[in-house]
Parts: sequence; structure tokens; C-alpha cells
Amino acid sequence: MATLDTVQKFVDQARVLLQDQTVPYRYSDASLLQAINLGILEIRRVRPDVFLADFTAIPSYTAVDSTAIALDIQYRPALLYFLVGYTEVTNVEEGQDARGSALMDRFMGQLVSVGGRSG
Amino acid sequence: MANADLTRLLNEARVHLPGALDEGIRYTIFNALDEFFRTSEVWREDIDFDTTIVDLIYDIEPEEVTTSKIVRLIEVTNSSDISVYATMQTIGELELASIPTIVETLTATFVITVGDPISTTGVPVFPEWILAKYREAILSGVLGKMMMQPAKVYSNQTLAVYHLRRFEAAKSQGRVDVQRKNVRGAEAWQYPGGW
Repeated sequence: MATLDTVQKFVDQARVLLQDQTVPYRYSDASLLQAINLGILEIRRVRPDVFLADFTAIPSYTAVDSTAIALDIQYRPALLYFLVGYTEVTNVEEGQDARGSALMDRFMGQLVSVGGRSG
Repeated sequence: MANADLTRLLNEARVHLPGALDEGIRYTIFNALDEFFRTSEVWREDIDFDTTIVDLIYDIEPEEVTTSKIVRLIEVTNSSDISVYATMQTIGELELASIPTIVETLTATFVITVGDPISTTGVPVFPEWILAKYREAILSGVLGKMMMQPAKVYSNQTLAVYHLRRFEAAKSQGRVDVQRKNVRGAEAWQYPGGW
């Protein structure tokens, strides 16, 4: 079974990193889905070659289900970092901003450098 | 094209280009091949065509690989191997200097390069022997072009310059190989030459 190959697996793994595995969840499926779609747009901006096969079909997801994530396996961990980082920086609780920003930096770093650091 | 050679080329590119996507590598292989063929002129094709006593212009297309493209005309000869003056202002339209007075078969020699559509492997079709002989050169071209791209995981200007220099040298070597017909130490000229 492949890792991070569906929307559901992305959300499940994000909840592990967010420590949000108990119902009722702190973060809704809709907000996590929104973060996935924003992450995809960021990847399109920074690394257009990732969508070289078809620039007119940038993926966007509408449900947390078994829909396949149309992203090369090399960049799925980066998208996961964006998903968690973005979700944390949108949380108003103090202390999560730093971790969220670090994950966003890691996301960007993985898109543009071997070491995974953006700056 | 032999799949083993192609797989080796792709695998070597993947190893040297962490974070690169296969789709991007294939695009760059096309670009590297196109530049290599246009500059080195190693891929040539002799195409026979029959003249008429009314036509000055003849439409010519590559026959060995139908998806390939003509780059330039090298020469036109008749059955006695005597040069016939011709030009090709528009690629693929061969124009003789005058309307032939007899019907005969002429042979036009062209420089050929890769073209779309590409094969099912995602790599353009070209003669197998070229990859076998110039694999390192093509790889250098691919690596140099990929590493020269900005803001990628595999961007590396220093290595890009190194590989592109190797690619330049290989294109020159290819041109010499053609002139000497792949004979070691052979002279580039022959008698009788063009005066």
C-alpha cells in the first residue's frame, strides 16, 4: 500500500503530525482540504515542471476520500509539510506559529534544494 | 531504439538529478538530441526522388524515421554521383536550379533531427547506433540543461557549465566524425575535392 497516495492518507498523516486524531477534531476536513489545494498551487508556482505533463489540469480536491493525489511521489512529503505547517500557522494558539513556519520553510526547501532548506 | 540503452540513459539522469521528474528529463532529452543533431550533423539521410520534366520543386520527407525533421540540405547527386545544384529555401521543398530535361532519380542528402510525435517511451525516435555511440554526450547535454534551470532541487551552475562544455566538445567531435566518416586519423578532405 503506497504512502500518501490519496487525499485520505494525506489528511490522516497530517492529523498525526497535528496531534489531532481524536473526534471531535480540532481541524475540520474542509480546512485540511483547503490547505492541500493551496499547497498544490504553491508547488505549481515554484516548480511548474512538476505539472509538465498537463499545465491545464492542475489538481484540486473536493473531498477527503480515496481520490488519488496527482503529484509525483518525490514531492508528496513536501505537500504534507505544507498541509501541517499552513494549518498550524492559521491556528491562533501561541507557540504553534514557529513550528508552522518551520514546516512551511521545509516545504519550500524541499521544492528547491536537496537539503530541504529554503534559505 | 534499444530499450536497455534508453533505460540506462534515463537511470543515469535520475541519479545525477535528485528531485527531477521523468517528464522533465524526457523533455530535456528531446532538446539535447535536437541541439546535438542540428550542430553535429551526425544523423544524415539519403532520400531518392524522381524528377519530371515539368517540376522545379519537389516535396521531400524523411523516410527512415517518419517523425524526424529535415534540418538542412547537404547535396543532391544523380545516378553518376555528379552533383546537381539545388536549394531548399523552405524546409522540405527541394528546388532544382533548372527544370530537368530528362526523367531521372536523384539522391538528396539531408541533415536530420528528431521531431514530434515522440515514441511511447516518451523519448523521440532516432537511430539506435547514435545512442550507442554518443550516450555520454547526450547525457552531458541533458544534465547540463537540467542543472542550468533556476530554483530546482538539481540546479547546480558549476556542474551545469562542466556538463555543457562536455556537450559542446561532443558536438564538435560528432561533426569531425562525420567529416572523417568515422575513420580514425582519416583526412577530412578527399580527391577530387570541391574547388
